[in-house]
Amino acid sequence: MKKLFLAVVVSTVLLLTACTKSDTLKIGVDFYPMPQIAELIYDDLLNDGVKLETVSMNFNNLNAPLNNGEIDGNLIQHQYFMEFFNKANNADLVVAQPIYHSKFALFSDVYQNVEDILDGETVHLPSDVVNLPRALILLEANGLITLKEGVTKTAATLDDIQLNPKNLKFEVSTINVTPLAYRDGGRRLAVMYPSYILTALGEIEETEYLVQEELNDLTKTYAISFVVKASKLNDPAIQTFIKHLTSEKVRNWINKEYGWAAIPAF
Amino acid sequence: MSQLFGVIKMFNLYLSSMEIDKLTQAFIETLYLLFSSALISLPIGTIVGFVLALYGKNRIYENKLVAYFLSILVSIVRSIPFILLMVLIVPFSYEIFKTSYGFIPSLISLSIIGIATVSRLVEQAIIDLNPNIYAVAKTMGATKFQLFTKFIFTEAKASIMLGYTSSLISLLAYSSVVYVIGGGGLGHSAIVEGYQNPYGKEMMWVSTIIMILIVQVIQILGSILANHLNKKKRGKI
Repeated sequence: MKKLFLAVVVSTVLLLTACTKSDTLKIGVDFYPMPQIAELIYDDLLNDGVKLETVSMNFNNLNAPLNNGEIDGNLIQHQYFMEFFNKANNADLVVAQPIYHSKFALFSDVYQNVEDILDGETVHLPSDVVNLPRALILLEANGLITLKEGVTKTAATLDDIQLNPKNLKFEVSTINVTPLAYRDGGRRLAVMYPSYILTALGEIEETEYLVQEELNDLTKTYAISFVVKASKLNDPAIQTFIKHLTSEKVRNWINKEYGWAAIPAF
Repeated sequence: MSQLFGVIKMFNLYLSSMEIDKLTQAFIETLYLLFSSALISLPIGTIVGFVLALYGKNRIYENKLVAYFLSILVSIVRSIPFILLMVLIVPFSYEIFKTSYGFIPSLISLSIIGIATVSRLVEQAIIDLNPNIYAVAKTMGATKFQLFTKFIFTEAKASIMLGYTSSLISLLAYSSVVYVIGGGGLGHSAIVEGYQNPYGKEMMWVSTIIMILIVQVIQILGSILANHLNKKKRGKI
């Protein structure tokens, strides 16, 4: 029994070390639609001599193996998430290619226009340090609030709100709970990602998008991107991967299958 | 039969051949994780359980230092949220095995939690024994090793088997979250490819149904085996 156990452990270790030595391109993926996009370009990459292998795990844990060099890139994050990791781990990850902009929006099943929003209405917002500022930027762009002067907008908090002409109340919650809070409050107002609403509530109406985030130099930095180590940016295999990642095929696929939640960023 | 078909239609459980491949893969990964972690945690957990049960306060081999140390350690492992435990294992796994995701860190975290679970259940099975067997063993001149194997283990076999069954099911439940560190398995197909994918509800339901079936099989086999051992012990076979 002991020998058998030892044999199992040793053979798995050998197998795993053998795997890491091959010259395939290992790309970390997590949420929809990244695994699907990787699958879509798998054959094209193979024709160009790059064997794609996806490593699927929670996005919170995907930067460590990238930084360790166990994988070659990941398709899970935007610039700010990457910067947090870089700062905390003294890492040098860089954005190699933005892929899509999420249709981050103010949702409401009650209002048709921003002007109609009543005084004292409650708005549900995600609570994390990246998405709360993004939500505040969206509200400010639509004249619902004004942030204090000189504040770094991408790090704004509720305390940075200077003016709130409609006396809106803000209720923050963990991002996957925000859609539930929105529904329980009668689908009145929430700043959210459509993908989270669909996952939590199972449905999303076209008419619920009250205002969408406008694309500008600031909001474009929130694009979900292909991230690699700085030293690997010019690796030929990485460049081939980027070429296929930004192909017409992928653009059309995103527009067709994920158009309700995102627009291509290339 | 037609009713069953109705249920399938209700949940829309039609899978493409690619999805079936993924599910098969996930099923194999789960079994692999389950059995390899069981292979580590059942023997070690049993030994720890013996120590916890026999070296504690007022037990036959009183050695409070060892017993309390192990007991506190087991309780600490069981109190760390499992997702956190996995994430804490990752840097160690990288230091030792040069891999920070996938099978190895998943196996390590599952084995650690498995040892803790098994040891408590084995401890309970042994504490429940009639204390007379220690005196009987002593009068029969049994050595320590004989006492452990021929008396305690033989007597507690049936309840230890039930403990193993319940530990295996716990391990299966824990294995459904190792997808967080790239361990894959049915948890991955149910949550990532199922729940979090707008077109993945079939995957979610089918993966869940497979998990239910695995638990049923483990429980039934465990109960049958425990019953058999119980009868054997009472000489009815």
